[in-house]
Amino acid sequence: MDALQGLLYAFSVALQPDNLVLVFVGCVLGTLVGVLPGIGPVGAISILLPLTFQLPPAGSIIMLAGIYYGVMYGGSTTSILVNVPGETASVVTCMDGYAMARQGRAGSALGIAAFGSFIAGTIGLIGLQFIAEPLSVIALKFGPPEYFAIILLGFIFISYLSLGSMLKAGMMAFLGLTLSSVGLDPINAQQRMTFGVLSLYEGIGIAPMAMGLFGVAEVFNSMEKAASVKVLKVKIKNLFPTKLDWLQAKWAIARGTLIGFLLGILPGGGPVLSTFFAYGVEKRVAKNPERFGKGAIEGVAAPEAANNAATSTSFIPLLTLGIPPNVVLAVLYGAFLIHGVAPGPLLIKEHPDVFWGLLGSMYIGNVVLLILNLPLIPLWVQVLRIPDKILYPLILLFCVIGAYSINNNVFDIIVMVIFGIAGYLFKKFGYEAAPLILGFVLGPMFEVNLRRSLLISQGSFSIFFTRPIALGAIIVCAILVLLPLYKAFSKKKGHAVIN
Amino acid sequence: MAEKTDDRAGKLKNKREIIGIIGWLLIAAFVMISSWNLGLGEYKNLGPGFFPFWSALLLGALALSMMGTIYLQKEAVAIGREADIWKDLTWHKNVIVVTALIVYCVVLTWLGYILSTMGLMIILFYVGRMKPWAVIAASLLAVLLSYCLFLYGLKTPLPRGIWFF
Repeated sequence: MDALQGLLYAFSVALQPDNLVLVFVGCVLGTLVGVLPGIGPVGAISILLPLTFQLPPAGSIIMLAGIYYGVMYGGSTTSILVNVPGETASVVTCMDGYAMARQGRAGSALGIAAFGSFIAGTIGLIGLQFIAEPLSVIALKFGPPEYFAIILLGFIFISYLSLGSMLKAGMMAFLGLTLSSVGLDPINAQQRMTFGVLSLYEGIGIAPMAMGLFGVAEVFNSMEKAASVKVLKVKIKNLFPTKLDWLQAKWAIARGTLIGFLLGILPGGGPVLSTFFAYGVEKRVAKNPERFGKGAIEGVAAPEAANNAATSTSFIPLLTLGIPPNVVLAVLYGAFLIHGVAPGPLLIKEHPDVFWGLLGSMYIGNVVLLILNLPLIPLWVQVLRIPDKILYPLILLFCVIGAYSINNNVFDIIVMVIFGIAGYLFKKFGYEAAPLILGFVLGPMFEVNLRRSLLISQGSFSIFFTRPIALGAIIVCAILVLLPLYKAFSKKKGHAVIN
Repeated sequence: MAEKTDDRAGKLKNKREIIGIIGWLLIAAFVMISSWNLGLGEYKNLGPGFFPFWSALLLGALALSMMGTIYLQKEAVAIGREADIWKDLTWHKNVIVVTALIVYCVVLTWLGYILSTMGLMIILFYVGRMKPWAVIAASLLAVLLSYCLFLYGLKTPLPRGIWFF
């Protein structure tokens, strides 16, 4: 199927009335959740996942992708109006977005964020459309050693690019790998660490775990704080950017799009990293960098464009290789499996309706979000005014029913509560939960490909060094592991010389 | 004086990190022992215990590296803005909520969705310091709306309990 045929098929699936409704519902729910500070895209997807169980696979994935997109859009609204990011990828938008709002330019900030996101998201989707199919063909030639090496590279990137301590990120990734072993052995079906609990035979569920770590933990963190968010009292006018706004922001949008497009594909990269990178680049190339942090429109346009471009292109490794590059898509990967669809090189061939339907719905979702975001901003602001004492119990209720509805089993609620407590403590002690989820989702693939590789090679590890792609990935891993050690050693030597 | 406060804060942070590291080492040791008993197998045919054993071993190794980092560095490891992570926070609310959730899990299938969820919501809204009439009204509304949404809207079977509702 060529690109044009694929696009026509994409719209033929996405424009079916059922799927159109699901795109709309996904976008609305995603924006609604994205506006709420604390519950990010992972929490949103895991909490809303049970809503999709009765839907066909294509429809449920379309809705979940709409939620993901919507959260990204919604997060920017909170960043600009409240100076509290709706989700991590909107942190950078706070810096200049809130400053613009305080100067009475909230409308311009919101408008350029929405339009920039739309342009970047659309370009990202065009990239996804043209790159995915050829990459799937290449990926068919990958064997277990290649998959093992690429997933290993993904783990190293996750630790390397983590916002906090690399050591702690690594520990969380290994914890995720360990937890992924619970259940039946994937090769010989022997019980591992099930302690005789029948509900653990299939392993720990990704949905209750994610709900606990990101949803329930956030509720715990918020409930113990006294203050609610304070919404900036400004009249929001002129949501359509002016000619001057466009003149100032156009190159920022272009650069942000390119950065997000490239970084979105990298494991561990994704929207979060691309926003920080894009902001840094804008500040560096600006003629007056001192404007940044004080209401520079480029400081809003670039990260928002990078965010949405990365959101689109991060689907590429998930859909073509079956490897989720970031934690949000790791949860989405779990959702795919729950619905009986295995992402990977054969997805386009075996489930063309899922792949092309998803692509088409993302094009439509981009338009829907642009239409939704701007006129409904006053509504989203009202949502922010809902008192925490009403909001958080409702979120907890939703999590509880959602966890129960996965398997009609109280055990899933218990798992969710345990991981809720764990997530709360992780935050207190400075550990990020994202590497844990990635380790957990990638763990079974990692183990199976390692064991298959060694079965093929009769126990020889040379199989990873004799195949070019595997060797290339392992060399990059080695560089990334040795580089911080080399830097630390050089720093110590430098101190010794000065002394 | 400021130096004494910083030093005390640093020691508190280090103490917290060490408690965390001990926890990780205990988890790693437990998993390694369980995995060893499962059998590591041979390289040409890895056993079920191989993967969790090595994951736990590497987890333990990183925890020990962190311990080494704390002891070798002269200044305290900066791991957050506050030394006292529970300062000025009403963490006891979370204890009440967790207890309520555990009791909820125990009684859900026995009491049924409506009664047990009503109890849970009353506790959750009460913890938020809403007025009594508002607690009852909000709980009732939340239970009924969620019941209709999940049972009739999403066709999710909810536990009926001994009174069949």
